[in-house]
Amino acid sequence: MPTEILMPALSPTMEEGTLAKWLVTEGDTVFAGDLLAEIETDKATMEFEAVDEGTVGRILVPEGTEGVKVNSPIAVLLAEGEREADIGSATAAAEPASPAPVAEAPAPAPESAKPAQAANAAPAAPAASSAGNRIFASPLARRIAADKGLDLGRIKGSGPKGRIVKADVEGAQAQPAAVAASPMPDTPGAEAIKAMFEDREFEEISLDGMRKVIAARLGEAKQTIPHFYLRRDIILDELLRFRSQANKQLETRGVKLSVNDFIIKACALALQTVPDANAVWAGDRIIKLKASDVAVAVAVEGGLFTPVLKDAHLKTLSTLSTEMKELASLARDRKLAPQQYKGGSFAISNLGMFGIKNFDAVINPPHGSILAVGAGEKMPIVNEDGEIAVATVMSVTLSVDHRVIDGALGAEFLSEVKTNLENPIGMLA
Amino acid sequence: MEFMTWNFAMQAIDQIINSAAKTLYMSGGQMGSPIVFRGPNGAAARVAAQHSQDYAAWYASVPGLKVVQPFSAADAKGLLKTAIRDPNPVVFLENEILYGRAFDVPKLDDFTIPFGKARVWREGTDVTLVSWGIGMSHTLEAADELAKDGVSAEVIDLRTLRPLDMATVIESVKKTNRCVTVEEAWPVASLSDHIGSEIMREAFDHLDAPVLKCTGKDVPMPYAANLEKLALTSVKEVIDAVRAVTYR
Repeated sequence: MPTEILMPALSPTMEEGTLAKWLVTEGDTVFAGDLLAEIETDKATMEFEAVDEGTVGRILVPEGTEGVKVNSPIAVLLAEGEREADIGSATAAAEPASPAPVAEAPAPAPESAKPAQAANAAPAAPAASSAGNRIFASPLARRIAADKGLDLGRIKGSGPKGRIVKADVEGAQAQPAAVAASPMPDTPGAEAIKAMFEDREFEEISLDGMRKVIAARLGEAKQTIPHFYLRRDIILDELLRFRSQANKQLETRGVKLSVNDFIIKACALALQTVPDANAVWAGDRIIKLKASDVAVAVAVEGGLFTPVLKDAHLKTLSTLSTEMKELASLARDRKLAPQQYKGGSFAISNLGMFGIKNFDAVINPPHGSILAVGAGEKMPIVNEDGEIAVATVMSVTLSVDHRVIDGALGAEFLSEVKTNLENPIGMLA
Repeated sequence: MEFMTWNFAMQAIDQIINSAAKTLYMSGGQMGSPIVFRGPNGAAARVAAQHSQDYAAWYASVPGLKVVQPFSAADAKGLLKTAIRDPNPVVFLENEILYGRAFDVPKLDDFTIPFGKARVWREGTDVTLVSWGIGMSHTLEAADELAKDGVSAEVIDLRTLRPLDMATVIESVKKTNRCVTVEEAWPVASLSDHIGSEIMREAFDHLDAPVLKCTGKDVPMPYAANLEKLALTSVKEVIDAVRAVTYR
């Protein structure tokens, strides 16, 4: 049967490329090692060599075509004795498989274009698995996989044309833990869950790009990041007095500082005072940042964004306040540019305006920590003189990635935040 | 009955197939045809297109015949005795090159080898090599070479081509998960094809790779020594096929 020449992966991460130029034409005889085409990736243009000898029977993808998926057929090679008429069977066999990738292709594009926190969109399992493309595996490999309950879609084949063979499934057996811990645990499927509610009225909501990213990122965060939580109460009276004075004076400039603006500033300065807490986890290393880039969660219709205030430690309260308002407004209109929500080592999530007393936030990877801010409430406290007094108290919880920040370090950072907020004038110095 | 070579038996193929092989059946079991037809089969050395043909697959396809193709001298002796004692017409395919090769032969009073029993020449775990007659020379040499590289080949000599001992082959393939067949005959409608299809039917779920065949080339046998060598199969072809099915 004629052999299909498939789009090569020229680097481990390459998913698609441009077929820049054909170096052969239909009818050319090629030998192993002959140059067939030039393939362009986002990084480089590379030459693609023939592996088998034969005659180029048909070129399926014309030169200049962009976005050619890796492993999709680009030409048909005829072996000795085969004629062009034989190609029918090869391409016909290939066709039923091709609609799937074609239909799939547009879907991920708008998703990544959406300004969600898609910076490093979730590692959505093996893309080409059971979705549509046929998996080639030897009969024995299939049987072993079925016996062991392995999903062939998650196994990379080492045989010709990616065929999964015995050695591959045996290799997969060696790490059953890795397979079990894959990001898609064996939760019941949608059909099984729907069946539980079959006698109740319900509505199905399909997931948009933002919901998918939130589900994937935060699912991954809660499962893989070793969170721990530090809580403190912060007395706000001094800050509230200072804020109303400042706002009176700023009124003419049209600036109105919120408590949240102070919290951003307090945290940005604390990250400078405790620089070890200004760090993110990067798999095999820790990346410690210089500037205080503070992310702030903004709720929007149907989800949330976390725009980042860059160099927040250098900015005045009024600048931070103005910038925050702009970012929040862009977020609500879903118009944030990627550089406006990318990065940061730390985030703030404030639900105080909804009357939440306190809560534990999920770290937004790769951040090292996140501060959950509750409502400021008047309550009785025991003051420094040992007397019962009334104070405005705000409860905060710092969720910490233990891989990056240990308990004492987190406590030191949170203590700095508290000191800053309780001595607001100090933040101006 | 001895033929100087099986090539000359083509003049008598009507008698062998239409008379000898059919007599028992067409006489309703009243008449048999206990004849042994023997002689050298396949390529010798530089005897060209008309005198190098391998008839194994031809005769093995005929019900009513028994077909034997020994490799070792011991098997030739034991099988010939069985052939003479067998009440059916037996096609006994020898090989001129093997006439000159020495083997140990057991000294027993009445040494016979039954039909339909393959011999496992060496045991292995990675691939099953199935051959018979002169093909066994390439196969055993390839198995030695492969062993040096850590590929453990099980080598089966079929010895009898009709009846065929598929049970031994299937048992072996279930163990090794891969199979390569080796013969000097033409590739089209060859015994290798039949063996491959039987393995696929009986041991499909045990296969880790397609069954490959190493055969003579699809051409009349050339006279020139260099081309004759290329037209037959070789140790290298067997090794390459084994590497392909073991993915090494």
